[in-house]
Amino acid sequence: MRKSISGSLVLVLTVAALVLVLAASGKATPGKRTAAAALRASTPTATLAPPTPLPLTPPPSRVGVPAITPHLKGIPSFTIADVQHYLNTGPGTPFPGGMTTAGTRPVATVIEFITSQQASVLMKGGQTGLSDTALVCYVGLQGPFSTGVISGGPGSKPGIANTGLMVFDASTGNLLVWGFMG
Amino acid sequence: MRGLAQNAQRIQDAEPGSSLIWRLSLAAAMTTGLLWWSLLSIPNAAAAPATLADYDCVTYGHCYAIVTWPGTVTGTETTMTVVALYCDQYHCNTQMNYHYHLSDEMWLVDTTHQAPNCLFGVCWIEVGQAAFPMTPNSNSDVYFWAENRPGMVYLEHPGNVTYYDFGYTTNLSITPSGSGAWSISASSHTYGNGLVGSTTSANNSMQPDTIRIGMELYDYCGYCSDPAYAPSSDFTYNQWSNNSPFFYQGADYPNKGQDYLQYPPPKGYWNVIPAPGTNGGDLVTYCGCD
Repeated sequence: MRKSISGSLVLVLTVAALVLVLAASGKATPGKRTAAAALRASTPTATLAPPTPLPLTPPPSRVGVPAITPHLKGIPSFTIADVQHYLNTGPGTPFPGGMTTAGTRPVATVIEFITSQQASVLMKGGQTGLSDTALVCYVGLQGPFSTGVISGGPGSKPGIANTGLMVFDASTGNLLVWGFMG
Repeated sequence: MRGLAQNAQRIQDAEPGSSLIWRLSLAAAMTTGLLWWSLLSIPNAAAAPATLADYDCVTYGHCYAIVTWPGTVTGTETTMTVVALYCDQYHCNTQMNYHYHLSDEMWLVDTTHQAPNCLFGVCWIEVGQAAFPMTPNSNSDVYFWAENRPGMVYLEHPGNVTYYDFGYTTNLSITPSGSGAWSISASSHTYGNGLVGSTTSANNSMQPDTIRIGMELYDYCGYCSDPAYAPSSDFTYNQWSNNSPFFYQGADYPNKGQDYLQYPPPKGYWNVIPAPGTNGGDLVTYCGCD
């Protein structure tokens, strides 16, 4: 009887210990189930990363990164209201330049569908990557912004930019370019 | 669950004299548990550092592992290994109000001539790869290029994802393409071109006087368990041009530039110092950002 009890005890406590270990292991690496994390885990020291096995077919090359979901037929494939919703959804801001220096979400001063060439003029010669006649959505954002997100190199101090900008492809909704203007 | 309850009931039903058995059982279980703990912890050893990382590459500026070559130039090229840059999931996320990033890249810089007309008092064009929150709730590794040019304009142009190029090399170049214009490129093993759309910095009157290559980190990690990370990337075939063909760095005499490699978290070292016969040397950068 005693032998049976002690055997059960060992089994129970071992199982309990295993459960705790598994739970702790899960907590130790939250949100790390990415390809980068996988490679990181398999590369504990600074060594040249071998080519990673490709689990998926590479997505097609495209101009810009996905941002606004198109839902209309034709061009533009989204509305100004969609842009406003995109800018104001979530706790932060989708503007890669970040919040204003006051810590507030930047307010759009202009949202308009214009040609790529017209956007280029607004960006003082900057290019969108699309043809001159292609339709884009230009968004001007009111700062001021701390430009700490970008840097001029070692020792440089963050500056202040008065406005921010984002340009979207009016066809795909992709973010084509973003930036600051002093 | 039911079995556990039954076993607990058996323990309660055991005679008082079974305390020795209880202790021995507990010791055996703990030993077994420790053994399992050690075995199961091995795969996560790299991902969960023994000591929590603590660095600040925000408050006092970004952190770098770079090399600088001063001198009048008009273009620059390098060949860089594409690696999996990892920027922590929390801070490199636009929806968390942070916009931090980690990058391996090359810069062509004007620190003097047009510098007063640029943000930061420095003008530059940069190209490379970065882990950056380009879209909400993402932490993509992408090719990119950016221009900080006279007129107080900073523009950043995202390119293709780098995921499928990990372990391969990309050829980065910034070359003049007419008056006040520069052509930027980043080759991709998968796509041919890592950059898409705009690859020209126009209306740009900067007069470069510096080349930089290496790693940049913009991140804060206060005793966190999820720091930025990057395996080694080699910068080889490092070249410069001044309205003429390209030349390897150090082609005439050993020239490793001005090192800025020992200011972690980003780290770097010269695997091969640029010197005659080395084809521009081999700079290695990495980030075990703890």
